[in-house]
Amino acid sequence: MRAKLGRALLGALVAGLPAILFGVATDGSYLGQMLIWAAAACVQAASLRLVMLIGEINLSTAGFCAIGAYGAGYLGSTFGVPMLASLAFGALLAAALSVPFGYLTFRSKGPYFLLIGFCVSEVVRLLLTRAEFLGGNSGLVGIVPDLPSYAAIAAFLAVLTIVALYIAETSTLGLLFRAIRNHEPLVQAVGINVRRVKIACLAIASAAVGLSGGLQAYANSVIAPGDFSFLLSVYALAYVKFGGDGSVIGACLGAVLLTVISQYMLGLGADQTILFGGALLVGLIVMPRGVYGTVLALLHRLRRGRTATGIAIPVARDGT
Amino acid sequence: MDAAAPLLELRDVTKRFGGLVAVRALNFAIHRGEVLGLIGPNGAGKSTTFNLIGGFYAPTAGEVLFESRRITGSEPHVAARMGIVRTFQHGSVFRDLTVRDNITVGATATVRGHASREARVRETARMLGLEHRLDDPAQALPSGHQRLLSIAIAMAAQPVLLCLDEPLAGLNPAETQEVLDVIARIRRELGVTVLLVEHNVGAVMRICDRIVVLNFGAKLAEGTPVEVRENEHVIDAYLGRAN
Repeated sequence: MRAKLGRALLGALVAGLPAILFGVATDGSYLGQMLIWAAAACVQAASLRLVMLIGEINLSTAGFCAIGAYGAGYLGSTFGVPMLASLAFGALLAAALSVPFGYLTFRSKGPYFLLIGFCVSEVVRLLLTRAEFLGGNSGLVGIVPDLPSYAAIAAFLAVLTIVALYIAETSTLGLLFRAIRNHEPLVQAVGINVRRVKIACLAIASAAVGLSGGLQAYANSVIAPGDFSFLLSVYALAYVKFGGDGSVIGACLGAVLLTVISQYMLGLGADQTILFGGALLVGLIVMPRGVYGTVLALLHRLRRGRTATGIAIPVARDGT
Repeated sequence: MDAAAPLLELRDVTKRFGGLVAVRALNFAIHRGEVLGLIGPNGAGKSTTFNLIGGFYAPTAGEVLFESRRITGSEPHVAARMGIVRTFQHGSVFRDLTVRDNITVGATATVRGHASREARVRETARMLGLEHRLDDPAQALPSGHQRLLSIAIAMAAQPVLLCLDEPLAGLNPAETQEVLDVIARIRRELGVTVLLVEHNVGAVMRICDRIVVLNFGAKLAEGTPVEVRENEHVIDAYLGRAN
């Protein structure tokens, strides 16, 4: 356990410190904006992947992202609540609302759960277009960070959230997530309230994705319901599948790569939906283990080649 | 607590699926410390009975009592925390997890505290002869060890009544003997009561104190292995005549 924590902190330092420094250097510029988008995308990918550990594809990700963004944005813009408090409120609101949603929907699983998640995301979006106090269709404006170096702060909060998700994954609770994916009735049969564990998983994932929504809101200063269509969930799935679903590193790698590429594609005027669809296909067909999984496998093969007399250790096909 | 009262009792339990009556007004009891076998032809209602005891199905009528308390319709995890823990057919385990993690999941709900849970995992692994394979992924185990692991997961949850669903199916004679020895040891050393559904009649006759025979969802016979083996109805419906 302690070794895992050490690894998490080391990973956070290796990936997070440059990101934060980059944020300090680029604050206010286009690159700074892109850093925040990438950071939010990383959190969204990691959140979606956490629910994948229990074997479900959670398309309600977009809905809870919207709830986090509007929760934070409303407090910040309308009541002038400090940014960090608004962000925390958005995350907690998303987590709190995910509990009744999970209680009702975890009676279903597989394609049914996926469809319900899709519906929830769209219902949230449609309700937001009707909510006049939240700006309706045209959205909420004037969500401005009240602290300097917002890009660095956003990167820091994203890293913190991803480390928290990693710790959840490697804890006893995370072990139960994976056990549920393997054999749900067997988990029940040894006395575990499976539905409660699933709700805990969803609440943690929703808190994270709610925070990512808040980060996005403060980066763009304007949010509209259209920013949170179910496509946001599908993009998160593309990040995870393209980067590699075997680890949180793969999910983040996919998020960063696709965010950067899509920004260049937008420059070319192409539709990013095509890019994400293509990335999902590449992930599924060419690299079932994603970019990160494929790189790991290549490195492993190289190392094995070098130690010609060594004993070959087979790699698990699925990196979990 | 009344020591003479049965550990588990089924009273007129019926389970209907639409028009099909899977279990019909079933009555039997399991006594503390015994090994009870549940046998019968395919479709006799053995698995349904198992699911009714473990809380995976709620009976259409009748009631289930455990330690003289009504547990009818309790959810599986509630039944498990009271001490009714079951395994699944084909030695179901958590394939992607290591042996250690498999047994840890078994102990999570019923053993509190990190240190005592770890101790429970080690102790359970030793009891089932898996202590040298703790770090192996479950899917890498040979089928006999996988079967033992499925029992280890259940044992880690500290059952009072251990329900084994076809623990011998598909095993070779050596593996079968190993599992039978484990069951005998669990009963003898830990005083755990065992209910088992099994098609290997020879093994059931050897290990069980009493046997309940089901046919078409109803009880056909109940008694010691000798009584059941000589029962005309059982011979006609299930065992067949040696000639």
